[in-house]
Amino acid sequence: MFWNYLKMAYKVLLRRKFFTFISLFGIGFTLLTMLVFFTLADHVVDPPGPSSRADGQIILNMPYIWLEHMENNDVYHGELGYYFIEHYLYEMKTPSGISAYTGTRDSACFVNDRKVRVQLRQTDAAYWRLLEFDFLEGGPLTESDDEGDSRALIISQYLKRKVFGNEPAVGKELVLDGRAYRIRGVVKNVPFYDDISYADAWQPIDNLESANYRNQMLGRFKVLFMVENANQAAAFQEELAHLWSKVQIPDPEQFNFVIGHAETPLESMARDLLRDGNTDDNGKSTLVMIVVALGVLFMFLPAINLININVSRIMERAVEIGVRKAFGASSTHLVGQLIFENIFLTLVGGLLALLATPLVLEPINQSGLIPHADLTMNPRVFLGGLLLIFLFGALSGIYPAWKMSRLHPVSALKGGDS
Amino acid sequence: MIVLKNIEKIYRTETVETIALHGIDLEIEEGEFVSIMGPSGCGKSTLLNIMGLLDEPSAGYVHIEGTRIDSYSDRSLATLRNHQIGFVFQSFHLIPDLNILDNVMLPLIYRKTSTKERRERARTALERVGLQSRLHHFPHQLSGGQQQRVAIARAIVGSPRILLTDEPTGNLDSQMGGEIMKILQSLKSDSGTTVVMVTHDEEKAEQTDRVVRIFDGRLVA
Repeated sequence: MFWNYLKMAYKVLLRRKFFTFISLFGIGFTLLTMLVFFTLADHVVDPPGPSSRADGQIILNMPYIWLEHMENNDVYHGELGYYFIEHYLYEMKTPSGISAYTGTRDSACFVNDRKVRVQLRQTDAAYWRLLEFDFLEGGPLTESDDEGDSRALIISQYLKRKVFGNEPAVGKELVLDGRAYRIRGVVKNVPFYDDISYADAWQPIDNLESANYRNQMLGRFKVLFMVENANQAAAFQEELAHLWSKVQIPDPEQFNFVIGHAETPLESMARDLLRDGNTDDNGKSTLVMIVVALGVLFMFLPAINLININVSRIMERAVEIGVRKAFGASSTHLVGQLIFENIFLTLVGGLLALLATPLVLEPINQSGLIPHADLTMNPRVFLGGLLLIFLFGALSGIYPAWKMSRLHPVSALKGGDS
Repeated sequence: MIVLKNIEKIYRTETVETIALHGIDLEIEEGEFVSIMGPSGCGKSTLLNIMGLLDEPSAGYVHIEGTRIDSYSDRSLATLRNHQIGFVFQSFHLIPDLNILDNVMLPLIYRKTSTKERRERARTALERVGLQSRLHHFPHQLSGGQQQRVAIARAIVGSPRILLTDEPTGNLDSQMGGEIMKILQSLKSDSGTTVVMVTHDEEKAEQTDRVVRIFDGRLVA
């Protein structure tokens, strides 16, 4: 029966070539848009760069802490201060690694009197052990950089080319915002969507302009934790949960409760968008559901269009449906056959979309729209794409198939006119 | 083999009620070749559709091989049609996208039979109607008479006990019509198939065992 359905699906595809073209174009364009969107989303929530670990280790990020006054509901949330990190988080026993780092800030250097904008990030030495940067020259910052007034600087391949062209950069001087740094290493470019790793240049934390940061509860730092596996992650989360009650808040009159969360990029994003600090649920499931719902909504209009085309295409086959019914096809057989045919059609359109996706991603990567973007379709997106194709095929095939299977055999044999 | 008891068929719309069949009692014996005659619109095809379980009577009931057919599910009716009944239509109703062999195999895909067996049985059925050399032709490549022979092969490939034919020679010239009648006769005499034929053609009707006449939805002879 499968081969019979397949043969019929192929024949139907060839029957009205213009209709087939319209259907395939609609399916292909919709799925292409979805695949590009999901590739981007996939790279944002799990960027395949330095923060990606293939060996089972897990990197968790604490971008904010929340300070609250439980009685009068005052809430403040912000990045972490170094005092808090040094006195509480660095003391934690369960993580394999802890690193403090900042977000990026605008900086600049001059090359031949032309200003080059630089995204600058400050990190400790542990950052370079936790994240797996790809060094093209030199090496990472070390513990000695954490301690003194180090002028070491790691730069990206992009900045190296801008400033030094094809010459080696390690050991050379670079002036950023009027301060001279010595290049320690050059790393492969990190895409903009890798929120933890992206920058054009990385300098040690001690290079911050003032030493006041060491006394702050709230500041401009984020913290990375590395755990070896899920078990260690659970132990770490338990230790973290117990930590908050020990934290001495500098001004208990203003705030009397503090909490933070060490989460994956997706969880952090969900909490940032949908929740606040004082909730156990980080909103990840809700965010995923919203994204899926938006995806389904986006597919809805093209699916309705395809349904209309399918209904008119299937109505042309009323006599065939009548003949099949007369010779023993049940409604279930017919629904199965017609959905199969639609999934076959969608599969052809979907495969075209899968083939076209890299051709769309490449210009996006090259355009500079997303700095240093390296969007590629990984197996997860590919499998998701296949699932999407089947979903789209089934969604747009069910109604026409059901409608046709309900045709009375006698009226179907007369062409479905009554 | 086929028993119709007090069959009524009424088509209702919001404003009009049309009685297509009224009080039809009819018994057709196993191996009998019966023709149904009557003027256009008298209810012949409606009666055939009810016999073939393609349509339900408004009242009365149908017995097929001693089993009363009512309140059957869609699946049960489909199985019964698939195993017991073959249809030949005036307009052949072959599927244009499929070749002759695939068209003839159609009833067998709804049974648990292997592809090999389906092919064998389809070849045998096509041999029986003299079209063994046209297996891979498509319907549009055949004459009307040949297409009707393919339709007969499709109707008999599942070895049904009953063959219902709705004006099978209506679209054919007299020579081709004669050939089709010979095939139907041979099915009755060689396989003991019960054949019911709706026709306008008095001469063709006279070649059958019995002629049933309908006028205005009622049996008249």
